[in-house]
Amino acid sequence: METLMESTPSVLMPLSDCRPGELVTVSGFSGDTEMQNRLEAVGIFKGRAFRVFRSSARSGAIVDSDDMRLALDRDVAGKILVRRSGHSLG
Amino acid sequence: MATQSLCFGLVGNPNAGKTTLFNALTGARQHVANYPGVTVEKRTGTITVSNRIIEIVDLPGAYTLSAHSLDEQVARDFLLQSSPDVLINVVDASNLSRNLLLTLQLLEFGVPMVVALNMGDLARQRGLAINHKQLAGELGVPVVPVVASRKEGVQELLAAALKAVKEDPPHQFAQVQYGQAIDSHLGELEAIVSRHGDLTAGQAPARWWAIKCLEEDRLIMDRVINDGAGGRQVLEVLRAARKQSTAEGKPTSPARLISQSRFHYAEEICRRVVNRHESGSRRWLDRLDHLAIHPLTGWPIMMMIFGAAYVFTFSTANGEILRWAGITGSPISWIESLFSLMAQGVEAVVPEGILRSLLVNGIINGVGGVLAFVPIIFLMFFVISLIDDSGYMARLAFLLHVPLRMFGLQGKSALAMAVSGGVAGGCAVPGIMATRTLSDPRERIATILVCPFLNCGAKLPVYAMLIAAFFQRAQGMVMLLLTLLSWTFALGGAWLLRKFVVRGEPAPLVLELPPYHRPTLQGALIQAWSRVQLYLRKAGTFILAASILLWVLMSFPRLGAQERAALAHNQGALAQAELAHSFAGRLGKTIQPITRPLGFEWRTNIALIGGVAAKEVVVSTLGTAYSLGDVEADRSASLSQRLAADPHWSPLKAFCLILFVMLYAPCVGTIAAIVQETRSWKWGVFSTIYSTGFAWIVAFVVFQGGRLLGLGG
Repeated sequence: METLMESTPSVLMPLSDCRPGELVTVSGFSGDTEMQNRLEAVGIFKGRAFRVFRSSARSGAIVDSDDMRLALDRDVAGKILVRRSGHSLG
Repeated sequence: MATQSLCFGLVGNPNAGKTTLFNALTGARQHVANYPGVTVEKRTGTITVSNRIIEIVDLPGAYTLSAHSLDEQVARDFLLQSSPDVLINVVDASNLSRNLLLTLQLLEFGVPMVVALNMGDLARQRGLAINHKQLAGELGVPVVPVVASRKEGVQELLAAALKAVKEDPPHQFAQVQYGQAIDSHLGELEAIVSRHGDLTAGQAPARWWAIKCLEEDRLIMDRVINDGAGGRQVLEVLRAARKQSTAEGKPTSPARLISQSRFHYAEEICRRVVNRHESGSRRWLDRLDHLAIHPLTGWPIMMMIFGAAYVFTFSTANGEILRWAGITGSPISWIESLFSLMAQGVEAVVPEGILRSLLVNGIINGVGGVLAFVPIIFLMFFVISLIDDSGYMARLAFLLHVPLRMFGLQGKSALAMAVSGGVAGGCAVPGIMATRTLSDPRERIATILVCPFLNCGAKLPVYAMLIAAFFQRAQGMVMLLLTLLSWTFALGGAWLLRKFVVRGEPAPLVLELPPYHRPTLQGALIQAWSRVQLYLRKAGTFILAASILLWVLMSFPRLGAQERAALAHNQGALAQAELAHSFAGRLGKTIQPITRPLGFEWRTNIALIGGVAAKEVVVSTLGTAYSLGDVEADRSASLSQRLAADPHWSPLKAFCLILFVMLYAPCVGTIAAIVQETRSWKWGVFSTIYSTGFAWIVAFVVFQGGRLLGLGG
């Protein structure tokens, strides 16, 4: 996957604010432990990189990793804190 | 001669292809106590390989052994209690690192294990090449590549599993290192567990119990703490572990450290065994996914898929598709004629009287009436299973999540509601069965309880008769109005339930969108047949009993011989008099004060009581009650004329009756489905009361409101 590095240093932001095509790295969670357990169970770990496949303020976000696609509703996506690591051209 | 019997447990992530592999392993030789992947019960199959009887158990899909969901709890309980000889861990090769998280936890269990590396074809399409021999080396267990959908590698898998049984002691399993902060506490806990408990008498080793304690798994901690004298010591160790847990200089919990270690370990293994290269072949599927999920295109696509599924199911069940193929009749009519043959047979042998009436009217017509659902259940689940296997269902759930959440339901509720009669003519029985894919128990109950509000096929003859009598000029409009009203009531009913009965926060949606793949015909057929089996089992017990009870209500007490003789010349009047004299007739009269505010009189009440057997019975019972003799549901026109001419009736009353029939107590078949699906009589009873109360209020408001507005009465 080709990437363009952002020129500005990346800031911590909720996944729900990301735009489709952006590459992000999970950097933290603002939800409770139970929520974090659920997310880790499906493979959303701190340090893991994802590409935002779709995102909308209404319905939430869909993210891709190399080997899976996960859909998260608005509330869940808002509790995953990410840093932008680039933009996918693909 | 087969000798010793063995038990193999099939475990894996949801969507890893576990059920497909189970079907490939066991074929038709399976006992399905319940649907896999979502409900509590397990599916088992028995096969014989090299003179060994092997029982294969398909466990519910699990991401972890931490019992976050009911499924995971069931899978874990099975591992703790049932002592399988070998675990077959189904791993999705196209999603290796996530699947390995479970594999690593299973290894800690210490049971002989074989990894079935499934969906290698999909992984290759995605540009992933996995060195399975190296993976076996990394994990310390045999790894067998399989393509379950094409039954490739199944024999090799069985051979490897049989070999794993014999190996004693088992392989050197890979072990996750949790780092200094965890390991020292782990050692202490392990010592406490092995010193005190009889927990380790089962299959799980002390280390597993210790890890679970550090993960702060409530259920496991309770068991460890309540077991013997080690409770206080365990809590002390946990307190110390919590104090020392830090990550990057910040405090965290032992549970987090453990899951992070597993994640890194799995990633590390992947780095070593997976070879990635570019692939572009999935791009068009990405485009398809955009279309399926986008609100603008997603809704039309959904309507098309469900329209097609619906047309296929119902036109096959009622024979329209078969007619094209030159076959006359329909699966439903075949079942009906089978039962009418049985009825004729009984009539030929048994003389007229109570016994014949019981056999024909009570048992054969009662049970036959609900067995007419069987073709619909089979076809509907055949199609649903195809759609589910293709991967589309997860997209649908995401698409509908936002609108349905407002009513306290979730995306998948829409499927159940559409099947139940959201598109007029469905059936609540398969609809309620389709709620099994809902993960949140409260949302599931709410969905189950409102499915009967929708316009199932059996209500249509009642509507048709009343519409023909009173709304002749606006038939189409009234039907459309009834469809919209039923959705309004169902969604409103769900909202009320979620507000007052099954309260709770909406379940967060974290949903894997599995890659699209081609469904297997075998899987769909097995799935459909398993649903039919479940239903047939109910038909033989609950439905039979309920049919007999309703027959008793409508046949006893009988008229005296004199009264019968007086009316013998007029069959219609005799039938009416007998009905009026019966328990149902008396009940109908007794409850008149309750139904009078809705505009119903005792004859309508009897029909409504009869309608609990099956909604279309309302028509034939009204026919009898209005002394037309034995009126069949399809000869409703004459009843329509009769009602239209009757001064007691009015369009407003007819409309209130339609609404009441739409909403009141579900039919016996549906109540049976509710009891079966919720595993509780409570919800069957609740549904009957809730629906009837709801119906009463709606009919009351409409009737009294209509009268005030001068619409008749």
